[in-house]
Amino acid sequence: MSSLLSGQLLVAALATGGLYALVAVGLNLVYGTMRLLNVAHGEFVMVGAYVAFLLFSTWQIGPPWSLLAAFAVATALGLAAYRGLFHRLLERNQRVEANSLLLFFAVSVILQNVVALTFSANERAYRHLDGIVTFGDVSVTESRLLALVVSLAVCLAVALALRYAAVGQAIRAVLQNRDAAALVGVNVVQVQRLCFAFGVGAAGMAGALISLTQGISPFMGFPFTIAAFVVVILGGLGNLTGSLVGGLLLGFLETYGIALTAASYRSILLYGVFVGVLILLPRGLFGRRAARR
Amino acid sequence: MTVLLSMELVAAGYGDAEVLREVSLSVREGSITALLGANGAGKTTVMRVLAGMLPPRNGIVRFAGNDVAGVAAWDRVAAGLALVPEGRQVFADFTIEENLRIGGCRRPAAKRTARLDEIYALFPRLLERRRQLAGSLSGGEQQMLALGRGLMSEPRLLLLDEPTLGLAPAMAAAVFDLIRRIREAGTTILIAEQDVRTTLQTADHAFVIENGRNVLAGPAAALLDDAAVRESYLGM
Repeated sequence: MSSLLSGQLLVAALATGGLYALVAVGLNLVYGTMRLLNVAHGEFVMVGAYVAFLLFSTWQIGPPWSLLAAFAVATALGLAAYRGLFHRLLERNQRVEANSLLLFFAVSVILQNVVALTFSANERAYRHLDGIVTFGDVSVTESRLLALVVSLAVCLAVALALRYAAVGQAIRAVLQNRDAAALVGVNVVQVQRLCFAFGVGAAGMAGALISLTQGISPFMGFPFTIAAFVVVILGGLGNLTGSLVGGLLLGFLETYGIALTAASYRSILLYGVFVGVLILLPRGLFGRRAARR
Repeated sequence: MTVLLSMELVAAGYGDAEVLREVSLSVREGSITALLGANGAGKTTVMRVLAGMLPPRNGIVRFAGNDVAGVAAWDRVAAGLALVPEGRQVFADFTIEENLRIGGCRRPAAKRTARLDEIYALFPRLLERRRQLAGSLSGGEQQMLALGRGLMSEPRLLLLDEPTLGLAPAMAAAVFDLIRRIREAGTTILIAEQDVRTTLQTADHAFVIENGRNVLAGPAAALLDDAAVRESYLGM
């Protein structure tokens, strides 16, 4: 059992958890402010991963530029989808959740196939920042350390901005009560657009980080969509701090679960947690009341 | 006195439901104007149309002389029109002070802080509890907070939708007392209320609607003596 207490596993769990948190915060922002169910969220992760892959394999450009580029491309794609599809859906304000699910499903299939057509369906990978950093008894690749630091730093920045910045207060107001936010003067449409852009941008950035640590394929997004939904349900719909905690928790469950069993159990663990949480804690870990509109 | 707000022949509704068929009203600057009617008459819908939360299907809304069609709710707040909605709708996960501050989000930061002190002077109870979450307040306290939050935008016109709904009589009396003080401080008020008697005693002018149409209008004192009003709304 001593291996379970190793710093090695702890760092691995933090890295996985940080990435889950980063992906899930975006999903939760989009759901919380707009009631849009983004089942294509993982595809924005995938797009970010391909942006980073392309930049490195063509021009040897790595972080930080590849991270920013992945963020920018995912944001641009997201804003195009917002303008073309979701803005209208929100304006009509009828059956937003069900319709958004279908629309995002279409976006998901289209993105997967466009990327598969362009880059083939084969798994791709590149080697960058694969030096080993050692402190104490912990050895970790530079890329994994970068993923850990960047994802936790971005999550922390989001948490601080939500708490202290004026725009963060506006976002929290919209999360709590959209009508009331509009009535006190918050430009709800602007907040929604910002959350959409940032939410998918953060997913893209997470994809760039992921591409440093594992192979990528056009179909890599789906497990991240599921993981993000698990995290959001764990932490509570519309509860962004909950997403940060939930992301880390899922990272720990997965890492330690695999250490106790085998890597092939990863999917079973992920979906098992999903089903378990839905049955036992349908309102999440911190759910005191149902999500309000 | 000039007309600050007017609604002319407005029709509005949700989906297939036509709630307002043809409603007109006007609010003179500096007045307390009452909007009365039974449950389901369309008072809340009138308020939502005025605040910019529901686009009218027909008719014109003018504020300070301008047609405000197409002006979003948040920009109406910046222009000086604030609605305190039915059911208070405070931000439950914000503290009292956060609720008040976001009420002034369209004002310059310096003015907001000065205004906060004025609001606390008006509502000492809110000052005592400024760091508490709004969700932990009683109904009456939440109503005070909703009023304070609406006032934070320093509106020229304050729309109040059922501000005493669900409050104990003493609390309701306190709310009416505040409404008078808010008007004395220079804010025009349009109030929709269930409590017809107290509202008519407080207001200068009143409009009565029924099934989405105007049925009566006049000085509040005259309506208080009107036989039809006494029978239909005061039960006398």
